[in-house]
Amino acid sequence: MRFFGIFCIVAILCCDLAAAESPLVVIVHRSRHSPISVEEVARIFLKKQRYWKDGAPVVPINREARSASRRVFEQYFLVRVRSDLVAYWNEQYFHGVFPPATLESDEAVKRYVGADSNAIGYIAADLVDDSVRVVHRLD
Amino acid sequence: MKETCQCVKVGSALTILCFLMLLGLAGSRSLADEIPDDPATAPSGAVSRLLDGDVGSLSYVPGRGLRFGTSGLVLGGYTSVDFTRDEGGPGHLNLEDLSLFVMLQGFERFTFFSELEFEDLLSIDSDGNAGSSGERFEIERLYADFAYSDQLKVRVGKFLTPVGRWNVIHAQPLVWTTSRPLVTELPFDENTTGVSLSGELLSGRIGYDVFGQFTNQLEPTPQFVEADRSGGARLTIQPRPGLSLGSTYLAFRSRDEWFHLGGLDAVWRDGPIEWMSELSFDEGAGTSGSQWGLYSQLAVQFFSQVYGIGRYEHFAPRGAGRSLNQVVVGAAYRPAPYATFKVEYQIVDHHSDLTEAGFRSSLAILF
Repeated sequence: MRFFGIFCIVAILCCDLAAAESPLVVIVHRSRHSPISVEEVARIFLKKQRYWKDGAPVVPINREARSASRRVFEQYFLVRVRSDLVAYWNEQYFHGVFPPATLESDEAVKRYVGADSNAIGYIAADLVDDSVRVVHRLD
Repeated sequence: MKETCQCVKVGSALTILCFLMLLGLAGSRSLADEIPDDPATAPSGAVSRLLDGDVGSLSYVPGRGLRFGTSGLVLGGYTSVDFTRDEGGPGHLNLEDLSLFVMLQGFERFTFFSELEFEDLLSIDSDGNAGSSGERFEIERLYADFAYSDQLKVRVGKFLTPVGRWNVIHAQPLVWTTSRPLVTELPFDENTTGVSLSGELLSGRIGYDVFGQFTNQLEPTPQFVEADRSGGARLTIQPRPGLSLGSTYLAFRSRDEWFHLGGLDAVWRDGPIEWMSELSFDEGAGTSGSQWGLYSQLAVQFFSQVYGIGRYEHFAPRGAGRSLNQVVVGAAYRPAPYATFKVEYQIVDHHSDLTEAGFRSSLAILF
């Protein structure tokens, strides 16, 4: 049982590292064709921009805080150190605003974004398929 | 009988505090810099699933509240315990705040938010005398928001008056010092009961807020200024990332006299450094005269979760009162994303009823 537990932990870590090695891409539903700037992506994931240009609510999807994808995404797009983000979200909580919803795998993020025309997320590039459209790529 | 009553209050307050701290610590498996996520979707390692019911599971994340499944109802809040000792006086251990947030979310454009606050719950001095300096229950905030777009949001109810920066984030877990700059609480009513229109333009580079109070204050709380009518506007600009500048105009009526207040504020964040400053000037239309004040505060991250803080304040009260200069030097330690421990020493250039020199410390927790 103990070996199985260790195996699971190692397997999860390997998956996360493998995902981190593939370039990270920001994806939206395939029906969304408007370009999205890096600044806009940051504002969406900080919940400063809550609506798409067509008026529909934006649904940003995060990976969980401990994931490598999330750290890479935050460093590149949000350009803030972790302690800044902690303070920022604490302040938002004081005003009743919560961080974006999280999903625990890139595959789950892709499936969600592929199914919801208002969603936006980030995944490893090698998982991209026809259900989503890439709007930014981090090489 | 009175002593029994006081013991019950002391016991109740301590029980509540211990419960909240244990709840926070028990639920935490996160690193100090790990951002707590929404309890609705936080990964299984960070969330405590407490019960399962018809609307989903009752889930709790420290610093992000208790979410009642898919109902949209979230309970959260914060509390703080202070230890203060004015120069030449006894020390006081105070259970200062216990604020409960009740939020209703999950609608596309509508949200409801309230903050119910229990203040001055318990004080124990260094001689061992326990009691309360006048505990009270307040409705600190109670409002509904309707977001038409990112450019226009309508708020109706009782909210924090958007003058400067400190007043709208004044909760102990969010600010760097236990003491509050005088200029952020003496010149105006901290709350407004009315309507506000706000939004962001030019991709967030410009923010605006127009607000007014056309009715009596909902549950007025004892403050330096109690306004019964007011109107104001606030404009913020972000000329570059990390820098935000703001200006505020507020007109309010208090004790049958109208006052006009103008304010400027700024915050600049760059890596481990945060600088924040506010200035305000106000003048009565009658015989009250004018007053003004400012503060400038620098916070620097020394180690991963340890910050050094320095602040200078000047306040010139209306009337014959002498101008006050004050310096605060302190440190803050954030052992977890939702907890902050602060120590500071306050130096003033002369004794005043408005503030005292001395030691301040606090432990503040978002729950």
